[in-house]
Amino acid sequence: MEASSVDTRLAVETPDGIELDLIPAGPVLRAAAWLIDSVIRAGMLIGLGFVLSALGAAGIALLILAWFLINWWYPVLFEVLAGGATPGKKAFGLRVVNEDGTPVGWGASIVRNLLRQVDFLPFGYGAGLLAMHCNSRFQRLGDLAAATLVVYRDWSVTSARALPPGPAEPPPLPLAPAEQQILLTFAERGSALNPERIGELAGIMTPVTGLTGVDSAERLLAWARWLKGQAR
Amino acid sequence: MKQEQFVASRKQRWEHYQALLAKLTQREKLPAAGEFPAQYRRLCNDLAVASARGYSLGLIRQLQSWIRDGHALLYRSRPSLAQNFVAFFSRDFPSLVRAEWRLLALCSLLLFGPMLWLFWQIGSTPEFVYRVLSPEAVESYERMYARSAGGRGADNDVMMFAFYIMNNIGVSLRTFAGGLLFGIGSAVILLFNGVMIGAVAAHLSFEGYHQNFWTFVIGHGAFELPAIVLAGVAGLRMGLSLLLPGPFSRLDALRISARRAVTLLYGVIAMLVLAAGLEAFWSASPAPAAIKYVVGGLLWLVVLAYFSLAGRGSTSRAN
Repeated sequence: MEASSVDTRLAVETPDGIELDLIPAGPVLRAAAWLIDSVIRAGMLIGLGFVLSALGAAGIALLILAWFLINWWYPVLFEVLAGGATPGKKAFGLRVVNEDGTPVGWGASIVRNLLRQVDFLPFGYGAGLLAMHCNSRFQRLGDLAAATLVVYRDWSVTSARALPPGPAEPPPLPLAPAEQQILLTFAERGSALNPERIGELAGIMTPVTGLTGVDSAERLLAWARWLKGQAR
Repeated sequence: MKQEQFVASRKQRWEHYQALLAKLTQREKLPAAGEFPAQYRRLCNDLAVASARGYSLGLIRQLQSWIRDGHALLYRSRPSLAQNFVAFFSRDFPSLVRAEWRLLALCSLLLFGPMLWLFWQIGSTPEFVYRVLSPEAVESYERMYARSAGGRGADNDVMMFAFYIMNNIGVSLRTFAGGLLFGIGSAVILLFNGVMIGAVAAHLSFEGYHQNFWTFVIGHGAFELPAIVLAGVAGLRMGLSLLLPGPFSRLDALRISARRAVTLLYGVIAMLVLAAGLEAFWSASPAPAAIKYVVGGLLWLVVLAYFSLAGRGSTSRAN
């Protein structure tokens, strides 16, 4: 696993010889997810309390078992059986995975959730918060012991948009794949940026395009159309 | 090949992959499921080509997101415990416990040591019990064992079963987790339980409640006390890996030991469920004292024999 230096992206190489990007989620989002889960757990117990307390001793027995399950096993059951996310995590688009990007199994999920007890110390997840800030992957102690990560389920900031129609022309000099990629990505992002920002970014390329601001952007867009091979 | 041509030439295959993925993710049984790995690998190939040719990040991230879902489907681990249930209890669990005999001895000492000490103390000076327990607690224990077991009613048995599950498994899970604090948490919980159980047992034994007390605890104690000790072993295994990581980094040592510890914990939980059943439905039953002693003694023998003999001679995963 390789950490990039400009953001929290982790590149994990799969057995198929390609790299998957994992973006670990930070403490604020995870705390919010935990809060939602706490509300859901409390709601479940209150609801069950109303129903089961009407059933006498057997109901109380079931209620105690439900309390035990919800208190200790709620995160484990959801993480293993429901695609790596409790409802709270799901609401924020988070997911628990092994460090190699595969879904968590029973062993890892049990370890990370039982060690929550220690992460919670001395109060309010103090130890967990400290641990999260001591590594680049936002792992609390339970995550470190279980070799798990909490990552964003879907994090793409750009999607493969079509470029706006217009003239296409070949760039005046051959581009390396990485340079071509930057140019294409800039062009695809264009509709998501405001004109001032587009002009500012395109201005960086003034030495190559020979133009400034929006004119430079138009020139870059024309090259991108040619490189992408978009039909007019 | 330019990006648009690339996309157009593969569009149909990608749509097929997505449809297959969506169906398989919903656990649908498909005759075509066998072609999924091949489809997945071709998509991986597409991603590698797209990255090498410098196609846009939009396209690459799109491919990555499809691959990520396929990767999760293809490389998910099967819950192995359910399949290896028999192998686990007949071989892996007892041999793992034997492999940890040093920690087992230490944890037994941490739990049973204080018990013996309190028997000696309270036997010579009965007032010593009040240094451990409050007078109110002592009185409530005396009331609890003032009459012989039985006549509690089936409803109460079920309720107590649930309570024992919640309480005892909760304690053992906490004992395990406490091990992460360099083993101190586990050790403290074991010592604390040893002191409390020892004080209550010694006081009741010397104050004339011995018959009611021992007939109640001897049966389920055979599973409960060893289970608590083993929860301590699991915790200390983790704690020790941080103190003495051996040839590994501390983090790697912790990960290896956590895997081992959680395997122990499966056995501990099974033992405590068994103990809760015995405690609720057998220990509280009105069977004659002699039978309770005989059955209880046999249960201790079974547990000791299980851990010393089961799984010997077979090649074990634990070693």
